Amino acid sequence: MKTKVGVFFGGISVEHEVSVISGLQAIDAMDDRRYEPVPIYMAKDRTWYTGEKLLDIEAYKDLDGLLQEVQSVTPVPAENGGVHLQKNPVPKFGKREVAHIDVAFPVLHGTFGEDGVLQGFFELLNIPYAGSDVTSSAAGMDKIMMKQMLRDQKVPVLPDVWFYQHQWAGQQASLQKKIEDKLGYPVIVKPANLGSSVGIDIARDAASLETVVDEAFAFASKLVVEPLLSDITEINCSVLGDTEEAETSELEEVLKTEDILSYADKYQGSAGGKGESTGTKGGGGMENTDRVIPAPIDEELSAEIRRLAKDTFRILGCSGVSRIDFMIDKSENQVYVNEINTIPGSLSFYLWEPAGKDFTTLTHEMIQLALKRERNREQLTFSIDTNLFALQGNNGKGGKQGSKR
Amino acid sequence: MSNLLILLLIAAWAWYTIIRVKKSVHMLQLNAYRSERYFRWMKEHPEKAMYPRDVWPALGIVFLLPFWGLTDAWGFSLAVLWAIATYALLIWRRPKTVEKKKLVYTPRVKRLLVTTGALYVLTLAIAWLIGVNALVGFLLLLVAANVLVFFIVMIANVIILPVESQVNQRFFNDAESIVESMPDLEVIGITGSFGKTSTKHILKAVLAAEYNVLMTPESYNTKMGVTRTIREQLKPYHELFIAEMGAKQENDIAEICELVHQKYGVLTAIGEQHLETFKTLENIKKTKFEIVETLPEDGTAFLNKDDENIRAYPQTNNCRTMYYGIDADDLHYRAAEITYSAKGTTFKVRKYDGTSVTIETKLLGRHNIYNILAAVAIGSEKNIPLEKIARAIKGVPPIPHRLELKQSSATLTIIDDSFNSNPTGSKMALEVLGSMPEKKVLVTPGMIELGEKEYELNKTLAHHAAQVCDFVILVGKKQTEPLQDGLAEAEYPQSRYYVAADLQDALQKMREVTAPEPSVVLLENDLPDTFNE
Repeated sequence: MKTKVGVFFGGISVEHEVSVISGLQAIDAMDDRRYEPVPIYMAKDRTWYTGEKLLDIEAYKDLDGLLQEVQSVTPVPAENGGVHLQKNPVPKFGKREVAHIDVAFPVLHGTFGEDGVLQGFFELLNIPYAGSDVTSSAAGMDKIMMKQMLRDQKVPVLPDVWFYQHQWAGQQASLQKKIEDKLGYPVIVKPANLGSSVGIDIARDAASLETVVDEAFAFASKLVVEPLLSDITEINCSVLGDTEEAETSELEEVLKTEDILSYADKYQGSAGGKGESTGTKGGGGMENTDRVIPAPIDEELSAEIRRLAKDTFRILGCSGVSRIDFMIDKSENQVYVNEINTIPGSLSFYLWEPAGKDFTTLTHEMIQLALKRERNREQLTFSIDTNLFALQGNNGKGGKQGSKR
Repeated sequence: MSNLLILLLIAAWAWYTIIRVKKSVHMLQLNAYRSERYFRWMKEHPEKAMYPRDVWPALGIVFLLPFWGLTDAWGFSLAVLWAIATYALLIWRRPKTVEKKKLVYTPRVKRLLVTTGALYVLTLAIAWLIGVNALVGFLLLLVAANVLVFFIVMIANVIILPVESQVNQRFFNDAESIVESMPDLEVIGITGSFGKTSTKHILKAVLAAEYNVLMTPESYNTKMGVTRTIREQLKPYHELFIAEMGAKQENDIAEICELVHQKYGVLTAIGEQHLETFKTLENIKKTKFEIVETLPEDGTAFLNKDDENIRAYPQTNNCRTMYYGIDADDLHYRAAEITYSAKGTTFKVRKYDGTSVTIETKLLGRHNIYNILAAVAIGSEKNIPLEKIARAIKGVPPIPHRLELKQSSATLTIIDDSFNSNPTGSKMALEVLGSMPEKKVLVTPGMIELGEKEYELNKTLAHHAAQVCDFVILVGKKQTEPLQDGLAEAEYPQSRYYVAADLQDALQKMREVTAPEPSVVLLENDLPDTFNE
């Protein structure tokens, strides 16, 4: 018997296509002696699909045609644990389920997949799932929450000013003044909770701040403003584990921010444009022009980044694999945590391979961590086995296991 | 007309019969489909198995007597109408009891109902053949079928027995192939006369620190129980499976072992249980040791060496054997430096390789030290670091009302042993109390339902209490007389015990005596369940 792993990908986010690639990469990597991956694709209209055809990346070019050939499903809790993928619509006769899964393995980036929403769905389905839980996913996605948690534990993050849309509308002048006093210009304006670079822009003075902020409010109702560092190095580090034990990957220096190695890169060995996931490496090798692995930084700095990466992972309460992105202010030689990706593109496998952990091992360890979290939870009490309503008017009756608690 | 009446009668009878059959099948299910247990239940509760009122419908026959001067047709109609009316009444006035455990419509129950139904259709067919004209015979047969419903269900049960054993065999085969399809799965078997369930729970907590573990739930410790657990709960990702194995007769353990192919076998203790089926202690030993004798060459046995019955057994399987204990010589895992306090038990486990670890637990009593030792030994052999094992054990909660530690206030600790009501358990609870450094108080209503020995056993309990306790509170004036006598015999000073009228009085007194200094109160045996503090 193999463990059936439901790999969830696609989703409702600007990173939909990236997620499809990451998802298929993960499926391809899974140890087929131990696991039987079940592809589960979430279309942009929030419908779930499963079927062999979803494994073929070429098929996505004709998405309508592909969706005709695969089965629309609803995940429902199974009687003895795990989840059934029930046909949608439910047939009146014959088998209702197309597949069963024992573990969920989400590979959705951005909103509804990486921000705790999907994780909450898994919680209610009562199925073990890989990666961070609801709280850490949500905290990792919200830049403001993340920075507050890290700052509280003395992990260096940039100072910021944040506000809601209605605050900006009502107290624009005072907020502008606060930004000028606390941060100075130029500043960078970001939506608080979007996973990608959408809506991010730079303001160099008061006038452009107004334009940039107004534009950013099209994408989110909560914004965060940070000082723009002029001379920086961007370093990424992946962490694998849980709050109890975690390890760090090789470090990469990012020359041009890219989220992912494209499917074309990995499987066709050629740099190719695929929408957002433009090719980042050429000729199938790991050498590429946009990222340097390992990052060319000295040992001391590297050690500090690894330590801060682990701290960030633990403080937010993450599990599975995350990628933490750092900025190094070269002028002051100061390291800042910039953001965390609780479901990083390609699951950061390219950072683990040079660290001696292949993609197969990575997915295996992620699944085992999901099961470990499930075991730890079994020890906790979630509901008290007493019906408070039933206690009313109980005139002292009850047996040995009755109302005695 | 008459045919319509007959059909109505059959319908009314069928309705009532269904109610009666359901009841009997339910009882059969509660008696584990065992005809002999079901029969014993019938003998013990004849009023529930057979209703005298079931004969009412047959009383309609009196209308056929010539004495009324009725024509045959009239007499016949009246008799049938009477029967229909009484069936309606029987249905309407049927005893509606609240069932603690409802009838579960398992496939077996469905097969049983079909068989019973077939028997009834047969009865009906015979009734019909006897003929409507012979209404007397017809009615009597229907009524008999109601009165004897419990026996009919029993006959159905016997009829389908071969089918059921085939079905079970299929389940066993299915479970066996599931286990075989998981080559990396290792099975740990636990058996013994006592301590199985506690050991299982502690072991699960220990192994879960590093492995995906499944254990048989509750007390599913028969071959069928283990089979069900495998078929319903074993997941492909499980690495270890803990199977509790119970034995009522010889070969019971070997049968389960054959199913699961255990790699590790734990034997907690051997005592004189189920002697009526085992006949001799030798048979018990042999049966319990089946778990060791069926281990593969690369398997490991874990044995409690402090148990003299285990020590005395001539084990023939020379697989790796680990001994744990407190007192015996040459132990692989030994508990030492045992101390009890209001926080629980603390002791050191010394492993054969020279390493050791301090175990802290909320569990009390010497028996639990053995249970923990078994779990430590297996966990350590599965390469879990001793510190991690200790951490897992610290989190194991006590079983409610069985030597359960409750911190009532900063200075008052309560040992709730209210589930217990047997002499051995009470003695052990007093030993635990005696080992506490704080002020020791016993609150008990004494033991009941011990038959003719009750007086003597309660007196003995009082003697033990007199040696251990700083203060004794007896709940109930009349029922604690044997304890009062016992305390007097032991020359326990009157100033140090109190006979409370009821629980409220006892609690009042308890607060009074425990107020001045740190105290431990042992609540022994079932007190009224308002005890929440």
